Amino acid sequence: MVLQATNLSCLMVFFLAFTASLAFQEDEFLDGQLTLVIEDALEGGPDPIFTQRSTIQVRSVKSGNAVVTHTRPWTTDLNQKLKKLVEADDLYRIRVYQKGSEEKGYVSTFTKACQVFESRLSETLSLMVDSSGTSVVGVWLITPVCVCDGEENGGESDNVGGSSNGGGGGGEIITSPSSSLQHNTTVIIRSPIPSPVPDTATYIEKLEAMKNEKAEGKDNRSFLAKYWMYIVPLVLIMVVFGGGQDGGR
Amino acid sequence: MAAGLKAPLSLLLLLFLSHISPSVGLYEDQIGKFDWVQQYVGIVTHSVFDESTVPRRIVVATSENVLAALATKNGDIVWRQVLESGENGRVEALVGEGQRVTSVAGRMVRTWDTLTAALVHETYLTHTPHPGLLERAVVVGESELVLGEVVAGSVVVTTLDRVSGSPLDHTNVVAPWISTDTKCGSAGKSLVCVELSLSLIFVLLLTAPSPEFVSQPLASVGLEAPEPGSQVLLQNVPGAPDHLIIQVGPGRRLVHLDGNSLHLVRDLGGSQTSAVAGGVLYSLTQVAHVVTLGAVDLETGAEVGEQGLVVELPTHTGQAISLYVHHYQTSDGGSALRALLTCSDHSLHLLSSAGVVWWREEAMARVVSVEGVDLPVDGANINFQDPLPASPDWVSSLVHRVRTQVSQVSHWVSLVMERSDSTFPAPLHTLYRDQLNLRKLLVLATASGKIMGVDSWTGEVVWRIYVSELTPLEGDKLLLYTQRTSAHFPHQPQCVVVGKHRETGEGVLVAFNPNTGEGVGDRGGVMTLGYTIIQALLLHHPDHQYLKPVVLVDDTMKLHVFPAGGESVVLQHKDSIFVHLARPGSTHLTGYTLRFSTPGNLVLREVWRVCVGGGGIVTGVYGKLAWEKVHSPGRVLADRSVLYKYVNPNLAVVTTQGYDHLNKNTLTLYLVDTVSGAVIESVNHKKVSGPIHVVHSENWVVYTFFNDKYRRFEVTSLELFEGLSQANATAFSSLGGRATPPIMERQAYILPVGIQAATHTTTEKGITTKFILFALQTGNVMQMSKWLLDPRRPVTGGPREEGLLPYIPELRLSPHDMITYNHTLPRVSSIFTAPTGLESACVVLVYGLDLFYTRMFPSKMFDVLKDDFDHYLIGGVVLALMAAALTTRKLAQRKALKQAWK
Repeated sequence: MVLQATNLSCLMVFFLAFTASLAFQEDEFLDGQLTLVIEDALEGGPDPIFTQRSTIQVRSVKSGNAVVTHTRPWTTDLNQKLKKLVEADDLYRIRVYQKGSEEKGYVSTFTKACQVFESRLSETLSLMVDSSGTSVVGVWLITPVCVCDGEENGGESDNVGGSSNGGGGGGEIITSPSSSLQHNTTVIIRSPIPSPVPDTATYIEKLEAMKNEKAEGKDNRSFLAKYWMYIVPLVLIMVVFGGGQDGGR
Repeated sequence: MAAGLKAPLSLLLLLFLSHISPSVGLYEDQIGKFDWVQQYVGIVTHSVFDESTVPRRIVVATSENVLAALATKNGDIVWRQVLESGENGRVEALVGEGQRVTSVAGRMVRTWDTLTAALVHETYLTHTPHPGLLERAVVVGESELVLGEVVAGSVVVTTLDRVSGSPLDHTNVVAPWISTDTKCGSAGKSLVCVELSLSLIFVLLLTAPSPEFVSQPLASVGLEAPEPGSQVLLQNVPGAPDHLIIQVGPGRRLVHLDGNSLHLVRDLGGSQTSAVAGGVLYSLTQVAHVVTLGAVDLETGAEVGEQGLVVELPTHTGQAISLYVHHYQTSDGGSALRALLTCSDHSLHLLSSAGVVWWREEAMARVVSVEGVDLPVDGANINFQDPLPASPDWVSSLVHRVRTQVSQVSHWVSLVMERSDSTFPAPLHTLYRDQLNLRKLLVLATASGKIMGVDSWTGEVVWRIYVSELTPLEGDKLLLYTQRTSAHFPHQPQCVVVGKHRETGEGVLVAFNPNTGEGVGDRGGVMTLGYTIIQALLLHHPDHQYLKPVVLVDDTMKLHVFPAGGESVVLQHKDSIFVHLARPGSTHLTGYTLRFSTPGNLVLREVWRVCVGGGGIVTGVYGKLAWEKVHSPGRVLADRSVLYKYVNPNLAVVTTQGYDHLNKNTLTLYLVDTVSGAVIESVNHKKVSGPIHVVHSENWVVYTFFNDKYRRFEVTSLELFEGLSQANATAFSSLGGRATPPIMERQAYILPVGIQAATHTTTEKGITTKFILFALQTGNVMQMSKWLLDPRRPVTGGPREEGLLPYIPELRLSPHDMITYNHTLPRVSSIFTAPTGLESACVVLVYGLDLFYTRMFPSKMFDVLKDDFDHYLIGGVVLALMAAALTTRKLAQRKALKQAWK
């Protein structure tokens, strides 16, 4: 028993210390923190080699707060590689894995290399996280250019404008757009929507309200409003027959 | 309309009913006019000939857990009782006792009246089945029931009281030699086990006070030195409970059990199955379709030649599996014989000395996949569909057109001439398309390996193909594809069935002409592929002969194309072909591209991967129909603006189910784009369990499940919208689009009953309102308008969209909406729908244990004039009006002329 108690207190102390340390690190509530590594393949071909490109610090899955850091500067050499991919009409592939739990495997997606090139490396990454917020389910790469027209899209300012938040449940962080070409990534973190449930409460409330209305509300309509369906035919009949008599005279 | 109902609610309800139920509701005289139902029982495993009732009947228990009585005269089902599904309903023993039969299934002992099908007595056995059960032997005694449960290392013998079901005695017989490879079977009151590694037969008398295994060498029954690894088969002998057939490799022996010992009675080498009746042993040998029943006196061993039979079975019948023989007294005092024979194609035959008395196509009880094939058009329209010359200049196309139209006119004239002088109907087997293409040929692929073509109007089987080696793939699936429809005359239509080999597990492909049932290619169209199939898909692009190639993926991720010439089509479209794979029970879904393929070397390369976390596993992937058409791209809102649908043809619903201690059973749905691997949306349910039925069409998903928390069935409806503008109005691309996910509307409803299967109606152009068909657990099939499941049904007031009803959480089941009217369909496995030439009509085939076909009109027959439409009256009125107009014009002109002269 004694042993158990000490164990417990030990745990308590540890837990307190842990939470305190976390509280110092982050000023917001932690509901799932992920560090994700993005790799891309600029070599192309059937069996591409992936190299690390950026990391994403997901601070909160719920609020979709994430920071992107590009660990690889964009060089002319890389630009040449991308151009080569475009010329071969190849795919630009990326994969995302979680730092610290590589054994879970990676999730990956692709887009056409020309779309990346013509969007001037501007892109939106939409990451779906599972319901417990512990792992990434899938990744969606969207470029502003949907259809390649064979020329580089000049308007970088448009891209910066386009990267302002549009995500449903997610927030985004933009890396500072430098004058030189660099990945301009908008990250949207999404998690499964809680299931809809049959809304019986509202419906019952509605029924109750109707019942009450019926019970309380006396029929305070005017005489005419209440019995118009009897009066109108009567008047009509009178008009018709009365008119007939007049005509006969 | 309802002056008495002042309560707004009732008014609302009434409005609701009058407004939204376009239910057809059948008139009594229409029953059977446009629909048919066929009842089946399954593969017969036990049978009892019942002599006590008139007409005579055979009580059978089947592998589909059905107990039924078949009329001996014609094979019709006199009555049918559907027992519990799964192991709990599997009949292990069927004993006839006068006018009653007793069945033992799972933990239930039931006694039935053979005349009325009434359940006379039922006992629940207070005995939990032993975990790790290998085999169970049941001995039904007068007042007690003995169960011998074989588990690894021992046999548990339990004696139970037959009336109360309480255990009387319990013995554990230790048998360390019993492993999963040991073959055991019961015969009479004994349990017989054969252990090949010891070359010994063990016999255990279950009814003995202290049961003990007695062993004797296999050689003592003449089965010497069997090769290791040869197959051991223990077969009961119907009619002689104390006899057993032991088959080891090719050696087949009939043995007699006498308490704990057994001795050889006869060498049955060469025969397939045997039965005993009236002290005579009948052994069946089969050469092609001719079966010979040889009769031998069991006592003396002498041949009783005159009692044998030689019968020719119908073609497309498989090998005989089991035989039951019955002797009966004929009216003139002689004795005659009836034999009930089950074959490997699941057909059931009753044989007598005159031949096959009747036979039942029980393969239909396990239909796995269905395809509706358009019948060929009649001669008149064939020329019309002739393809134009390759490079049509205007002269040749004009000539072509004139020629086809002249031939059409001449054909029509000859048809009219023929019709006037001959009133004979066309021969039955030449099926032609009707004007509205309502008549279809339903191709049914069954678990037995039999493929059948059924005329949808009559339900008659037009042709049969039996491929003995074909068996369903993993997950009880046979893939049935239409490679070429009948629209490409003179090319014949072609279908393929993909399954696996019964023994090797490698792929088997059957190619055939769905109109005639003739195999295409060598060996009757059957191809053994030599590799295991893990995925197959039909390409959308036809080759130059209008044949769509089938792409098969084997377990080493190699690609194969059928026909082989289709490779050029694959290479031509390699950039736009994506394949996705999900292994059962795995946690990820992987997408592949074919773009790195070269001639002669088709390869798959991974391009995306989705990994479902949270302890769940992928339980289903539901795509859309490839040929589906979405008529309207948006919906008009109350303020007259348009909400555009998110119609992604590549979207698939991936269901994952898991378990965690906090949320119990969980279900998560992911909407995954199968080209880019993007997870578009996901919904997470807690405390829900299956079975899950998903209907996925256009821009919506409807799925049902059981809510563990509230203990009720629920249906959830999801609908995806792009928003008030479209990203690309002309074409959809999975690789381009908005950065924002589509808007998902969602709503849940309560279903009063559980669901066996669900699907949606399909029509040619997709204009007709979609209906969801639910096969209820009560055995009915209900139609429900998609409007009722619309997630945009408003909970509170406010401006409403056209046609939308206020939200009511519980869905009503109206008897008018049951398309099966008074039929009860047990064990529905799926529902097939196909469009017809008429936009308003859709044909429906419900399959499972029974087949039910009907046609339905989801939005009533909006494109058909009513039967009682008076053509003459309308014509007459129009003519009269025209005449009146002309005469009044004349009169007016004359009057005007007169006026002018004045």
